[in-house]
Amino acid sequence: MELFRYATSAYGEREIIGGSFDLIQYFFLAGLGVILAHALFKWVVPSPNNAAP
Amino acid sequence: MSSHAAGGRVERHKLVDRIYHWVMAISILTLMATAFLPILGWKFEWLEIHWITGLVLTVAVAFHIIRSLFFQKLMNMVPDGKNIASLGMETRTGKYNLAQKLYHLAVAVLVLCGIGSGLLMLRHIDTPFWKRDPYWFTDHGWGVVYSLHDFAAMALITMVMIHVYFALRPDEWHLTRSMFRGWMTRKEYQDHFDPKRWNASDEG
Repeated sequence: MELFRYATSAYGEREIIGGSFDLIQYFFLAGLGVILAHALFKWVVPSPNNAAP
Repeated sequence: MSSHAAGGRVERHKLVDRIYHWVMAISILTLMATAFLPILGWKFEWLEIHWITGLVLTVAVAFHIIRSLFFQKLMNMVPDGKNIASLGMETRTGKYNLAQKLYHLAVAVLVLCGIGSGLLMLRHIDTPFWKRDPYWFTDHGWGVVYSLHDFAAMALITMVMIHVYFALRPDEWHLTRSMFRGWMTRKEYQDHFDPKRWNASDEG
């Protein structure tokens, strides 16, 4: 897995041309991870605002 | 006290701020769709929709910055000592809690990064207003600009997912509803907010 996209210049050098779109899946998984972690936390430790009176 | 507050309703977002929020939401989703769907295999003419939507977002964000700097209470969105001191134990907060403030800060950085790099990238395409000029930067310079744009866009996937999740959570519905209709009930205000830190009768 690479962080960047590359092209080869006229001089044969490897140039960065942008971020690697292979990373999309990891940003998606990061969002999913935060959501699941928060949902789990809220399930284990309910908010005092939502506690029964 | 505002008329809304006096009537059992507490105003949270003025109409102009709600319009800004939804213009930004539609713009961001359109930009993400036109950026990522072609990468995922959906082929269509995405570029024109993308850059025009980017300009709409740019104008909207410029408006929001001016409004928040000169017509709203900027400190409502800045983490303060009370946020830090009561970390994780805040039951009644100011207008925004620490997580919302940090989320806003992160989105602001990403969106400004996307807008700044996107405006530079406009020099790479022909539009009715200007002809392309790809020699503004060296190849390496353009690589940096495109990388910033790409990473900001991909990070916004994470941020949008988190935002939608919190908007849909039942314990946050009072906030979500207020972004549609502008107000929350007095009970919701009393249950969730500290009037000393967010006086609902104040602007912003």
